[in-house]
Amino acid sequence: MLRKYSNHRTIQDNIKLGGITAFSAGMVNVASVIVFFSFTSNVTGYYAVFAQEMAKGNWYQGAVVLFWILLFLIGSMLSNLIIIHGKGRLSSYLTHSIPLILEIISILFVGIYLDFFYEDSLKETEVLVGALLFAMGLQNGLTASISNSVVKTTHLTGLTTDLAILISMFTKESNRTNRLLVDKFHLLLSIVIAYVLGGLLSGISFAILSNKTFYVVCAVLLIIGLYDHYKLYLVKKQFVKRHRQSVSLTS
Amino acid sequence: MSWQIYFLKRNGMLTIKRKILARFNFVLLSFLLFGATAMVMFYENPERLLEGEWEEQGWYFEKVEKSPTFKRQTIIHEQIKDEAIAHLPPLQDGMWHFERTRDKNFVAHHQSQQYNWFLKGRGHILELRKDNELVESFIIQKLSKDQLILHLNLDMQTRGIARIVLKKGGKEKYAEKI
Repeated sequence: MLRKYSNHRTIQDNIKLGGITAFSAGMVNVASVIVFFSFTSNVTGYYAVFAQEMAKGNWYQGAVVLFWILLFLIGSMLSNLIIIHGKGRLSSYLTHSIPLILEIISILFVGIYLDFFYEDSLKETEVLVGALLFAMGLQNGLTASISNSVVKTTHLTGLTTDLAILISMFTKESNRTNRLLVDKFHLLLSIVIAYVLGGLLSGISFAILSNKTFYVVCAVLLIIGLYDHYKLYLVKKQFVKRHRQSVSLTS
Repeated sequence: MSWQIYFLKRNGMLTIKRKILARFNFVLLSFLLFGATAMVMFYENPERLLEGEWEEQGWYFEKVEKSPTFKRQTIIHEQIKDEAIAHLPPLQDGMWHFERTRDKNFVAHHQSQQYNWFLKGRGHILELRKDNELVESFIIQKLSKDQLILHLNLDMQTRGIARIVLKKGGKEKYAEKI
């Protein structure tokens, strides 16, 4: 899921990565709306809110929204910086894992803070929402960078548009047999479904686990990180087994 | 010449060097980030603005759902108002008193400190809780040094949104009522 880069990625790689990251984004978004009354997986609305607050002369609220937008931007930028500067210096798996690790740390920080230190003050809310937006920026930057902008998982505006275009294109027979279009449709659909399922699970999980839902998100993200590690382990194990067999046959 | 460090002359037009533009992105980003952080840290916080006594100026209909009887901007009848805040004793005498101590935000009502207030989101949601259970939430439409406008969802005789206008002050009236 994480090892392969750009055009070397298969549709299955993208569906797995897109599905799981969209699932975690859906979870984070719903949990943050419940706890903080703020969306954290997308910034589209915040641009409008920023303009609205400025027009109303609410400088403080405007600055808070600008701070959040910038944190999302810095998260995405940092992700791509790590990927492009890590290329050739570190293995692709390690390079692509660093943004994911930073994302897990950010979400874990929010979970731990909510569990042990949160006093429901506005300042804390603003910082914690910022941390979640930073994490979502990291995630979106990571998935978009390694998939050549094919996979974007934290916001569904562009994705819904693409999906609508594809649905209309499928009214033509020739497009229904076009492998590329069908693959793209499957990818977009899996992202949408995963995002909604993540949101649903988060809502249910919050009713049972409360703030610990953020730990569940971290566990979901760990699956992405460890999946390739597990795959590499399997390949290595198979290689050693075959090597031993060939050695025993020759002797 | 010094301007040639930053600019190029291309097809008779002056253009900024791309290297300079790339650096400018980082300068602009840092400027915005520090600016926003400084404003959040040092500008008057909505929590501080909300503290103190607020006197009700009026309850009005902001949005009404298909009702021929109730119209937007019309004053809400006392009876509907009383019903809307029947579960909120600290707000029933027309004075909203938001207190803040080091570890607790509470809505003062006689000697009671049972109702706590919290601001959520970017400071645009006012939550009132009792024993840590949500009792009511308002959307803050305007919060300035002397005026507070809140929106409250009504779901009683008519579905709609109430606009509650409050004015800062009224300490004497509050003292009288107590």
